[in-house]
Formats: sequence, C-alpha cells, structure tokens
Amino acid sequence: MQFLNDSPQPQSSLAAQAATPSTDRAQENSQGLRSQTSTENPFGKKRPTPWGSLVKLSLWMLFWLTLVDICINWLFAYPDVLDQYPSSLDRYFDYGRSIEGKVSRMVNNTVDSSDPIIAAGWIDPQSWRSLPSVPKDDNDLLLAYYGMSFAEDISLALGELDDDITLRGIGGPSAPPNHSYAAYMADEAGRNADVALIGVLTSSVKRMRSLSGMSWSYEHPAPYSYPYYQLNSSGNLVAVEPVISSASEFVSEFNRKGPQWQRFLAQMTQYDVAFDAVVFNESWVDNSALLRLIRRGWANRVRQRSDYGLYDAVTGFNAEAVEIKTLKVMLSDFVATARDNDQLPIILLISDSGYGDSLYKVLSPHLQSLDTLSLSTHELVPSDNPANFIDDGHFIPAANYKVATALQEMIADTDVANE
Amino acid sequence: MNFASIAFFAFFITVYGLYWALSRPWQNRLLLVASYIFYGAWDWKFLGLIGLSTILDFFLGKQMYAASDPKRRKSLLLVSLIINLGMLGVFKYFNFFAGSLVSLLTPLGLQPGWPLLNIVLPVGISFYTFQTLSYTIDIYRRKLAPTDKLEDFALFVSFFPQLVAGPIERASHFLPQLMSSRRLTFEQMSRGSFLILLGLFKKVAIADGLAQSVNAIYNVSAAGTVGTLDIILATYLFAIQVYCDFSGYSDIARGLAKLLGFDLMVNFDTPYFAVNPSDFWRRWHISLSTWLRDYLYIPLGGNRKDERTTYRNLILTMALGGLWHGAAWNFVYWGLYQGGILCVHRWVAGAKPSIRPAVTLTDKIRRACMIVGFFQITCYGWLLFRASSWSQIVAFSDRLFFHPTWSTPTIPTPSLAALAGIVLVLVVDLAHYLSGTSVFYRIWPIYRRAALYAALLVVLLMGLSNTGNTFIYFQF
Repeated sequence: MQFLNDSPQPQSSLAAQAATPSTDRAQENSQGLRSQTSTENPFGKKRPTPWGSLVKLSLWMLFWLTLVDICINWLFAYPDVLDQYPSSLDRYFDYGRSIEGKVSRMVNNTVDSSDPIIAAGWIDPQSWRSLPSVPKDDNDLLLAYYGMSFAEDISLALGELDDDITLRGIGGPSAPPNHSYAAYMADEAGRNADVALIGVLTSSVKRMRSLSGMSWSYEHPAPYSYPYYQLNSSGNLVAVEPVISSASEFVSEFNRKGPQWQRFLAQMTQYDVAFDAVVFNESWVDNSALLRLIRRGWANRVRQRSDYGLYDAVTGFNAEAVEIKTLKVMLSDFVATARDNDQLPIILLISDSGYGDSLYKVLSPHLQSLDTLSLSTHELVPSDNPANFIDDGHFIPAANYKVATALQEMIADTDVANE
Repeated sequence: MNFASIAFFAFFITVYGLYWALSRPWQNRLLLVASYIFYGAWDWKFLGLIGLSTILDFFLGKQMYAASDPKRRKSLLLVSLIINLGMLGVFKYFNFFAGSLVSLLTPLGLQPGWPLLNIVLPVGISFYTFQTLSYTIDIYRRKLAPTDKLEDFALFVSFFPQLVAGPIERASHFLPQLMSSRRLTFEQMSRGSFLILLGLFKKVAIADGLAQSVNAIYNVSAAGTVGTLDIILATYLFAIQVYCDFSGYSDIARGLAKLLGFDLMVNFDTPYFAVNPSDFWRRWHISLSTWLRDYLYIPLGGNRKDERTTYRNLILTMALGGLWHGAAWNFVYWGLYQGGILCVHRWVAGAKPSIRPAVTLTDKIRRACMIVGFFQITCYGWLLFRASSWSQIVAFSDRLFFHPTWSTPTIPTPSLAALAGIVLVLVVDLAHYLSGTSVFYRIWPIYRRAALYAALLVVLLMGLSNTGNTFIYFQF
C-alpha cells in the first residue's frame, strides 16, 4: 500500500508526490509550464502579455459561443408549422423560450385552427355538452371523473374492465385540485352520475397557488385557467375567478393583447406564485439558444422557490402549508356536495414518480375523518419503482389496470353498485 | 449557502470587492467574518461548536508547544483529542452507535432504554475537526510552531471556500499563507476562474443531472425487483456522480481560494485512471487519504512491522476512513472493502508495487485494460457506499453475481446536459492524465483553449435546468 507507505526506505515517486500537499503551482513547476518572466513559454516562442491573452481568449470564446448559438438554432430549429412535430432535441433547445413565445406559436385566429392544447382543460360547461350525462344502459353506472391524464388513464382502464360503467370525464393537463374541484362544482350535468371521482395528483398540489396551466407548466404551457382558492376567516373557500375562462376568449384576448389580457396578467402577477415576468414575457432573448438555456435555468429556480414551505423531498408535505389546508377543505366540500346529490364520492390520490406516499401521509387523517371511499395509488403502484412508469412519467398500462381493479372492487362493495 | 446558488454568488462578489480594498490584517478579519456568516447561514447554532473547537485548540496548541514535560504535552493532546472527537462522536455518531447497540441487544432479550438524541449533524464537522486535529498533533510532534494570532487560526479552521467539504488543509501548508501578505496575479485569476467554471460544470451539469437516475434505482424500496442492467447502469452513473459532485466542490473551493490569493491542496487527480487500489487512494480525496496515513496508519505502526500487522492497520485505517464519511454501516462496509482490496493488492503485488511507465503499445493496452478492470472494482465499492441498507447490498449483489436478470433497463435517462458533460469531463480528465498535469490546456493554442472554456460553459448552461441538489459530501 504505497499511499500509506511510511517505510524509512526511499519512497516511490508517486508516494513522495502524495506525501506533500500538491498544488497547481507544484504541478506547473514540475511541468515547466511556469516561467519567471511569464512572457516566455517552455517552447521558446514569445507569448503576448497576460491582458493581451485575456482579450484574445475572450474574443475567441465569444466566437465559439456565437457559433454554437447559431448552430443550435439552425440544426434544432423548432418547426413553425403546427402539424410538423418537433424532435426531442428541437424541444430541448426550445424549452427556454418565453411562455408567451411558446403560446403565440400555438395560437391561431380561432380555437379550431390553433393547437389542440389551446382548447384543453377550460372549465367551460358549454364545451362539455357532448359528454355522456346518463349511463349507456339503465342498469349501468355513470362515473364522472375530474382530474388529469392520470385520472383519465385509470378511469378508461376501469371502463374497459367493466362494461357496465359509463364514463364522463373532465380534466386538464396536469390539473391541480383547484381545477378538478371547480370543474366538479361547475358540472351541473354531471350531477346525474352515480359515482363522482376526484383525482389528486401529488405533483400538482404545488400548483394550487396558481391560476393557469401556463405558469407552472413552463416547458409545456397549457393556457387553460382555473380559480385560485383562499380560505376566509371562517375556514371556507373563497374563489378568485380568472379573468379569462374559455378557450375562445383566450384566443381572442391573446391575439388582441387588449385591456382584458392585461387584467389577466395583472391577476397572475398578484395571485400566481409561479408567474414570473422574465419567464413569461416574449422578448429578444427568445432568439438566442444559449440565452434560452439560461432562462430555462431561471424558470426552474422560480419553480423551486415556489415549492418552498410546501414540499421537501425528505420530509414530504408540510401539513401547515396553506395549500394543504385549502386542499382539505376542498375535499370536504367535494364529499359533502356529492353526498347531497346522492352520489358516491371517491377520492383518488395519485402518487407520481418520486413523491412516495407523501400525499397520503399528509391527507390520510383527514380522509379518515371524512369517512369516504379513497384510494392512494402508492399502495398498489409504488412510485419509487421506475418500472411502474413510462418515459413521459405516466403509469404503465398494467399499473392503470391494477388501480382500476382496486376501484372496481371498491365500487362493487357499495350500495351504488347493487341498486 | 450552496456554491451553485445565486445567493452564494452575491455573497462572494460582495466579500471579494471588499477584500481587495483592504490591507492584510483586515483582509483576514473580513474573511473570518464572512466565513462565520457563510457557516451560520446553515444554522447559526453550529457557530458555537466551531468557535469552541477553535479557541480550545488555539490555547492547547500554545500550551503544548511551551510545555517541556512530555507527560503534560501528552495530556494536553489527549484533551484536544477527547474534546474534538467527543463533539464529533456526539453530533455525528451517538445515534448510530446507540441504535446499532439496541439492534444488537434486542435479539438477546435485552431492551436498553437509552434515548436517541434529536440533533442535526453540523455541516462540515468531520472536515474541520480533522483540520484542527492535524494542527494540535503536529504541534505535539514538534513539526509545527503554533500561531500567535487567534484570528489567523480561527480563519484556518473556518476558511469558507473549504469549510464544509474540504480539502482538509494542513496548518503547515495553509497557516503560512494566511500570515503573509498576498497579491492577486493574473495566473491565479485565470486558474481560479477556470477551476470555478470546471467545478460548477461538474456539479450542475453532471452530478445534478445524474442524481435522478441514480436515485430512481437506489431508492426503490423493493430492492429484489430491480434488474441487473439497472443496477449496473445506476452504479456506473453514481461513480460519475460522486466524482463530479465531490471533485466539483473541491475545484470550486480551490478556485475561490485562488481568487483570494491562496493555494489549497489538490484533492483529486484523475482517480478513475487508477490501475490499483493503492494508486486510487493517491488520486481520490487526497487530503483525507494523506491525513489518514499521517495521523492514523503510521501511528498504528504502518507497514514497519510484520505483514499481518500491516494488513490489520490497512483494514482498520480504511474502516475508520469509511466511518468518517457517515454514521451508517454501508460506509463501514465500503471502508472494509477498500481495506480488503488494498490488502489483496499488497499480497499480490508485493510490499513495494510500482507502476512502470507505459512505453510500448502492448504496455499501453495493458495499462488501459488495468484501468478499465480496476474501475469495475471501484464501482462495486460505490454500490456499498450508495446502498441504503444491508438488505439492498445483499439483493443487488445477488442480482449482479448469482441471479442476474437481463430485463430491459427502466432507469430514467439522465439529462442531456449530464450525458454531454460526461463526454466532456472524460476528455478533460484524459488530457490531464496523458499530459500528467492539471494545467494541460495552457500549452494549447488560444483558440483551442477558448473552445474548451466555451464547451464547458455551454454544457453548464444546459445543466442549469437540472434540479439543484446539495453537495453529497456536505452530509459528511
């Protein structure tokens, strides 16, 4: 063991090297890279003065950085045409574009001619008219679900497992509980459903102090809006309704950038903790690939800052956080309203990758006090096992069926299924 | 205050601006205040510990040096050792040993009722404790004269660039620098800036970009369900992550110190180009390995006695070195593993193994094979280091060596910044290894140097979107 060689005999050169603190200076001297005059190098050529070298170096760096910027913009140009799908590298180098810049590429003159994401998720009962409001058959069950893609995937799996279930689904991309709760409250036609299921996605709880799918989903903005809920002094929910509340209104106001749009931005500035002008506003920065990378980093810091006080990877959710307190009241209201309408309320807690059982831990005492049916996916599909997830973060189909089967059994044990 | 944060950037710029406007004694005072602010930013209560350690060792060192009676000198050294190691023991190891003892006694029907302490591990305690211990031990050995100035010694203990994760400096190397006036040269600025860029690149782009993939496999609660390829990939990635995280920190620390006019010791020297365990420990965490050699291995007898005693000393030194990393059994296993492979290497290669220069093509191929082969051995050590439990070590080892399953890997793909960064860091380390110097780029033409800096910067910018994590070695 030479590194611990303490023999009185001469040490090997490597051991001797380790015996005294090694610094750059020592390394440079041993390599003859330093010289007393500092304007000569060991190869005999005259070198410029240090400051001259610095200027040359800086100019060369600027040249390389500019070249890289131009090459990225050229090689990974984001397609301008809506129906042309960008490659993963195109998307990667475009993530740092401003939210406004990304949305403006998706918005056209009308909702129909815009990207489908523009129309997704709005709490607009007019757009739900095509959804089933009665079961397919008189003996069937109508299950209305409110949530996001996870809730939809599980509900669709449930529909496949059980032909006697008719599904009515309302959701938004990565929708927070605000959206699901507001959608349930606004869904008058959904009151006919025998079962009302609300899905709460763990990662989306962080989005509760926001007003739109644009601010949090910085990399994939979805413009739909939803109310921001606060608790009043008596502990009841008070909604701050978004100024823009339908896809058509959004397209029109976004194109016009009139007073209504400014009011919407002012509202986001006031209430949305993830809203940041640097991240949102379209500017010249959008044209530089490297500056976009910096903005993407900044956006991540903004998002992390917004998480502060609510969630910690080690300790989980903070039970005293305003989001958790609000969520508990929302779930209580949801259960009470469903029962008032003779519906069977089900609360589905969805643990997406990396969140473990944190949501279940913070909510389970409250769910027990509500005495309602609830299911947490972490019990069936551990979120710490990457084998349970596909590349985009959603559950694998087998996991959806596993949760759906548990839901099916849960519903089968109730009076609703036997009526 | 994490180096890779805007808060630290603002902190350093402020300190830096003031620093060069002051004369030397005031520079040291400023650095001392800044170091305490930096440390107090984690938890101001920790300042009491570092203050106690500083004052105690300062006065013990002076008395020890003045005392001529060997018994008195020895007793003063013992006081220093007991108090410093006592603080380390209470804050870092009490719960570990108490919990382990309970686990040991419970199956025997004994249920000891001693309480566990509800305390937070003070950041960097292992680093500054070893640093102050080297000071008092060197004075005891008459290798060092104590400093007369408490503020210089306090700054030696708490110098913020290396306070929380090293390099573990020696008083004989660093105190003279603190006591002399300093001036900023162009070379120091240039090298310091490069080291900071390199360190941030390693940490932000690579280490943080790999964390999610590694955690996805090592945090699985049902370890038996993980496939062989997932374990192999996650372990390789962890090897890169821990290297980039720790050497990245050391690079930034050394870079910051250079900008302030100081030279800290080199802590990493292309460790994954090691060809055997002895070579590895000359390249990995050099400040710790030399500390262990000088203050533990040699006092134990080193290799001056018979072979059996040498093996015992190796195992003991490395096991304690493993435990230094953290209060958990997996670090002890890792230390024992390192001690074990050092013993095997000594047994196979003899007492004075040497690494001959690779001259011929055959030599070079053999050397490359040895590097690749030894990297596999190193990686199994990292599995022990990263594992969260004994059962995970058993399950993963079983999956690797006895019951492999070759299912499609499920490990999440690391970020693009991390993948690009791995290629770039390999190029940098290869150039360092082949040239034999860490400043290899200085003989490059200026356009090529600029291309290297630009490449590091671009990948660093790409890595800004990685989720920021604290440095792994902060927990030690």
